Amino acid sequence: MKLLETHGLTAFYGDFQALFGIDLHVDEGETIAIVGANGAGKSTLMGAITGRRSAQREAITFDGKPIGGMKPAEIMARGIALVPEGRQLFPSLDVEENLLIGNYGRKVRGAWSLDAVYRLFPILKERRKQAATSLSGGQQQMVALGRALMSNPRLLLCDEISLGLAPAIIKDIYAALDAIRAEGASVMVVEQNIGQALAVSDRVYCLLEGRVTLTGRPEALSRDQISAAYFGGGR
Amino acid sequence: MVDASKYTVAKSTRASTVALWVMAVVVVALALAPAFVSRSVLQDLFFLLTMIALAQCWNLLAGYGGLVSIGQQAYVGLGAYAGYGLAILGGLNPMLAILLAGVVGAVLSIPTAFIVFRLQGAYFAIGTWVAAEVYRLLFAQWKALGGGTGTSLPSEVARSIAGLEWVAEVFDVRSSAARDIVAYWMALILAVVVIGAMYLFLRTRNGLALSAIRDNPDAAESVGVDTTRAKFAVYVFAATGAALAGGLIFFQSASITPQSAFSVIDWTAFVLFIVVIGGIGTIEGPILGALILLALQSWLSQYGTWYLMVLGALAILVMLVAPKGLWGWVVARYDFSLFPTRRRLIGPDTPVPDYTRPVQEMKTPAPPGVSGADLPNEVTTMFDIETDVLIVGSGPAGLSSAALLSSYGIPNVMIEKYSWLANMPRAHITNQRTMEVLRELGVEDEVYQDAVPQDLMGNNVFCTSLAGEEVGRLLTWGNHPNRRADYELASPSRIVDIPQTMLEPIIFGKAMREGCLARFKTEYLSHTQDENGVVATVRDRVANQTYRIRAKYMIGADGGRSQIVKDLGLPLDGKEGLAGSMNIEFDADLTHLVAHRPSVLYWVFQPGAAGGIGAGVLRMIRPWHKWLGMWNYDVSAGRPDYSEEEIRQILFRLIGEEVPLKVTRVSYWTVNNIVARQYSKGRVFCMGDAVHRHPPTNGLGSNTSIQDAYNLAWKLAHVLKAKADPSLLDSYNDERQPVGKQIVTRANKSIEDTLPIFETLGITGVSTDEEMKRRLDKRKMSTVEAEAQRKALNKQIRNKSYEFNCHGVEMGQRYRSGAVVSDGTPEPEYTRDRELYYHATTWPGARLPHVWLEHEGRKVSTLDLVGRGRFVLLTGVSGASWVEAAARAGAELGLDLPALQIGPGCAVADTFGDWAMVSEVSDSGCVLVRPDAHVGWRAQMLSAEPTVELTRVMRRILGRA
Amino acid sequence: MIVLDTILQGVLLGGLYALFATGLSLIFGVMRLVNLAHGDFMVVGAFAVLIGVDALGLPILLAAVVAGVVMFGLGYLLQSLLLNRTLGKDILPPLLVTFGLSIILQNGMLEAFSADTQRLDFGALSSASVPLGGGLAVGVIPLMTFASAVLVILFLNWLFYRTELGRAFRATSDKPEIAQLMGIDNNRIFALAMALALVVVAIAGLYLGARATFDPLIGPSRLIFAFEAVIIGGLGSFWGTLAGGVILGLAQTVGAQISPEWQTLAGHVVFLVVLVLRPRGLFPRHVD
Repeated sequence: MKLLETHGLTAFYGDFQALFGIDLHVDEGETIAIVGANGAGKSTLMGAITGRRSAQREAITFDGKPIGGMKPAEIMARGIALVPEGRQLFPSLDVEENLLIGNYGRKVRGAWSLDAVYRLFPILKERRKQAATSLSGGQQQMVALGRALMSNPRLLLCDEISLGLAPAIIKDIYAALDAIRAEGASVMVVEQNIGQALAVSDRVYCLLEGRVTLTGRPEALSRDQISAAYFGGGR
Repeated sequence: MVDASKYTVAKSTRASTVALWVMAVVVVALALAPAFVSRSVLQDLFFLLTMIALAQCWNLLAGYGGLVSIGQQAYVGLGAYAGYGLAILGGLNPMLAILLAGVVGAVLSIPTAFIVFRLQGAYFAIGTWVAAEVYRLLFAQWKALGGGTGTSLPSEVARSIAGLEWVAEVFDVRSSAARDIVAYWMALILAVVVIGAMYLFLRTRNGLALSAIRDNPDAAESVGVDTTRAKFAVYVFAATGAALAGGLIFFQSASITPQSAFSVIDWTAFVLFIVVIGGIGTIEGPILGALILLALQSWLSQYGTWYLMVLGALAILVMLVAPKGLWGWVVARYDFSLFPTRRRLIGPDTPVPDYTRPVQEMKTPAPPGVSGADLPNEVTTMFDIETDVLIVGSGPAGLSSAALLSSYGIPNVMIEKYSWLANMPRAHITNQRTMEVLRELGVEDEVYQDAVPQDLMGNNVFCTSLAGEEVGRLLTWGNHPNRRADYELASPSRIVDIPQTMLEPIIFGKAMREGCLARFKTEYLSHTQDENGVVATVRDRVANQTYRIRAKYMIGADGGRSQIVKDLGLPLDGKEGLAGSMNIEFDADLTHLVAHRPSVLYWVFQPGAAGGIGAGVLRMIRPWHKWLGMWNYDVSAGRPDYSEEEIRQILFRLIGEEVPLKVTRVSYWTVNNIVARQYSKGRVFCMGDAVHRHPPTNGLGSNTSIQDAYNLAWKLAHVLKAKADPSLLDSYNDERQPVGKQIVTRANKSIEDTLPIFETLGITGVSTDEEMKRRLDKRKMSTVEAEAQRKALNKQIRNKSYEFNCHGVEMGQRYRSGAVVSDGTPEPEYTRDRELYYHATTWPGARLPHVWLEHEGRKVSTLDLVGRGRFVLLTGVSGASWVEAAARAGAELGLDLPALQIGPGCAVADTFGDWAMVSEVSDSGCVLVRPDAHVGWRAQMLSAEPTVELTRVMRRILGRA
Repeated sequence: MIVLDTILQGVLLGGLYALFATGLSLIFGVMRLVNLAHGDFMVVGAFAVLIGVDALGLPILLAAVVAGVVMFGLGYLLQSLLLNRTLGKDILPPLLVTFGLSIILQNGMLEAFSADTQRLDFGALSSASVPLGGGLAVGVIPLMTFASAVLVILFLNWLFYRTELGRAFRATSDKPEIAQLMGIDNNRIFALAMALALVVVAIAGLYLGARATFDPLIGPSRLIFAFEAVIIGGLGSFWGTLAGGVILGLAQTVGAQISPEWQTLAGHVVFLVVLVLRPRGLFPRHVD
């Protein structure tokens, strides 16, 4: 069962084309990884899926219904939550408030609640009254992840969640991702960190200059294939 | 020369010239209006003119300066009260009082600005309003002028204005009407002066800077626009204008109250609506707005409050629907401007590019860990730039490309990662071929002025130190009498020595004068290309902003660590880091050691010197007080870390005496032997050190770079002007890559050639000076061995001519590519050593031989007849048909193809008969010379159908076959 | 004793100014918009109460409640239909549009209600006062004004820091783009903020009319007081705004003691002094 699909998705910055006919899909319960170098179009793709960037209506379907070009709030209400690149916590809100605001637009009962998030990241409970931006980078990433979980999303988008974190912290964050997948949500991981992405995903899409250059199961792809798709050229 | 008038920076448009005349007529008509119109119309016109003046002041403030004030009534009121005070209480002539009122406004605006400038944006707006309220309340305390209830202008004061009686007499009106006329004229002058001053100001650098502030204050500040000062100036200007208007308005109305003088509705609301409805940020808009206001007023003012409501609603509507106002709408729709304050660069055959126009604004994703909303404004890129050719790097290759392309009329942008041109005098030998390029650019004389001439360059000394024993000497750079003629015969230009630090600014100046847009502190990051062009992402390292430059072609002249070569994945042959050497720049007067043997280079053989570029070297930068010492180091041990004292000791050893000296800079480099197998990919062309990296031996680096540029520039120009097919550009690689390969090989071979001298002297591996001396003394003995050694040494030193007299490598390139069409003759034999000697020939592919001719009474070189971006056909006395054919072929191909006959009775006289000796074609033959002075094709004699033949050849060269 | 009385009157006047300023502060806090028609909306609020009392015969407090509801709707529509379209990087559109609104409101009210001065009558309360002993007495209306200001600020602080809507306000103010990803509709949040601000404005209008006379054209000068209170107090904190209002009220009352003409001027002078010495205000929320 396909949860999210894009059909020939294109996107522009002004008249600079950033995406050229992207076709991809995420099945129910599946974890896919989008890898690509800086500027490959990954963030633009995330923007289009979450409604922050314009897209043709039929180019993106979620649960079989077109969602391209909808407002971000409407898309979120349907069950797509984003862990944005750079965490993007609200500085005026404390940790708990940052978590609570995560389900502002979608109040659905499910596996995830404030308590469940605190069980996943016990440290956050200790810090719940602290200003979110006073936490360490890894803890902030936990808040961002927890905030996205609060709406019990059917599809969780993780944009560069390992960026700027120490390797040990990255391991913790990805361990949490396993727990999240176990609860049944589909996950789409966008990473520059290929190794990390391959390790968690069921399928991989490689993006280069706005096009999908390679797709497949991680174990079926050779290192050379991936680096060619990643860097372009015959390297 | 390229006709400079074809390529101009234009701020005026034809419409604006016409408009200027229309304006002049309108102003004259308005000046004469009092003779024709009724007093009430005159009062309307007075209102119109004063409102225009006020509106322009506010427009400058808000529309250009980004200072949205709603407190301009402060200065209207101040001017009015100052005028009244000076005229009534001070007894001044009202005209003088009004002028002084402007001064009062200006003076008081300074402390006011000090306070309100502490507020930003919307809060600034209200702050100015508070300031106006303070002034109103203070003036309401001025009992002598009626306090809160105001006063009226005594009629004797009103009548005392200069010229009143004359006006009353001429127009035959009563004095009150005459006062209206005088006031009206003053309003006319005020409006014209305000508009004129504003127009002139906006065309200045500061004016343009203002727009930069408006568009992006942070960026403008960081690129050196002093925002506070510019804003302050604008604030004072607007205050002065408003105060003058205030003085005038209340002189005309003849009564004043604090409420009317400081009315926010009359002096700010109306003014604001005029500007917004007419079009903010333009000079035309407020004039249009004032006319609309006057019209609305005459229709609607009887409805009082409704009039104001309509006006408010209209302003809101305009702001929402057409935020640039009515005039902005006109401009957007018809691209029409009466007062152009932006610059346009207009080339002869190019669409009009406008560098100042932001092509689009785009939001960049905030860097990780920084949220967009944390910043005061979202980080937006400055703007995209669109140009024909983007040149990355401002070394000799990049600069020459910029200068040549600009002189050919091709819009180009040159970016440079650092803040200025070369800071190290690395390249210095400037050979004749390069001088010929500089000659075409018209900067040859400038170079001669700064350069060390040929005859001071050539006593190449090999010694144990400058003060020590001289082992041998070689006359170099064509200074030996038996080589001098070769050099003089080959070129109209002379070889010189000029440090890169002095040559680059000369070429840069030329490039900028010709219209290149250079952006320093701008780093190339990456690029993409498709069938239409190249988009490079670059970073402004001052504003720390990333933006994109779109170009049809890109030139990668980004040096020995070229990112572009890496990004393109151009295949590189050879090795890097073969040996290490350090450059020590220092100041020391060594005249006593060198003046009797002037040279650029002094080679020093000392223990440990063999390595690096072959020996220790002292190189003259400026005779004889600025020097560069070169000493080798072992690359495998990594870069050495010498103390300053150790560096001084190295220099003392090279010099051989402890002379007073000052070390100014030390830098390290390695000997490389790298050439790119391919110079270009798609629309990106690499040149200079990016594609050929080699040691300085032979002095070919900068020379080859400039000649790379000379080869590509005309090809790009022809393709961009649609005179040639893009396939012409393939010939760049075909022609220049072999040259790069040749010079890299040559330069490295020259290093190797130094070693045999050490060997012959038997000093390889010696570790002490004593040992060295002992070995050197061997050659002085009267033995058979010593004689053989002397002979061998002489041979090895002479062999160094391959480095220092390598005229054939410098001048003798013969291109083989699709842009050269064979005439069927075989390549001429080399009669002498092909590296050492230049062989003149007109064989297609070779450089046009130089001989002196006479043209229009002046001595000119064959090379002076050609170049400057054009193909030229040279023919002889019997070549009239070729001249005709060239005209026809030129017309058919749509390009300028001048033809010149050389010979007796022709336009060009072969004064010395030299052309006849070198042309290698008969008097009815022809030589087709490409814009880079290489022969593209030649014909031994007249062909049956010269036009057809010439057209075919040109088509082949241009890829249009 | 006069000193004490002056201080007391000044503080109570400050309550009125705090009420004026709170709405301005709220809107700026949520959407970085400065509403130049803010003062005129207070006058609109006062007239709304007046209509309730005069035309509908409602008791004044009930009329105020009705006015509050009307103003809530007006604010919501104003923001969603007009002002949301002006928000952006450029400061000119919101300034100009609200300035235009100010002109329209003033002249609209002139047309509707004439230039006559009006007053809201609390009946017996209008002249009632509470004796404090020692010859000191405070008017009931000024006391109510101050109490209302405190209550409004308490309410807003509760709303902002204890409710989900408040979280949404703050989140939107922090990062509007990211707030949308939480399912927050920014335009709706802005409309709610404006609606709420206009309810506060209606309360301010009630006391504006009860404490002194008003006419259609006094809005701008009240806007200036509101603005001065916000800047003196420092941006970003409702309690700071109250403090700013009190300082302004004190300055004006002291100035009026010197000469009636000096009342307003003294306020302006204090404002300018604060601006020169502490440009971020006396109690800014973020010290960075």
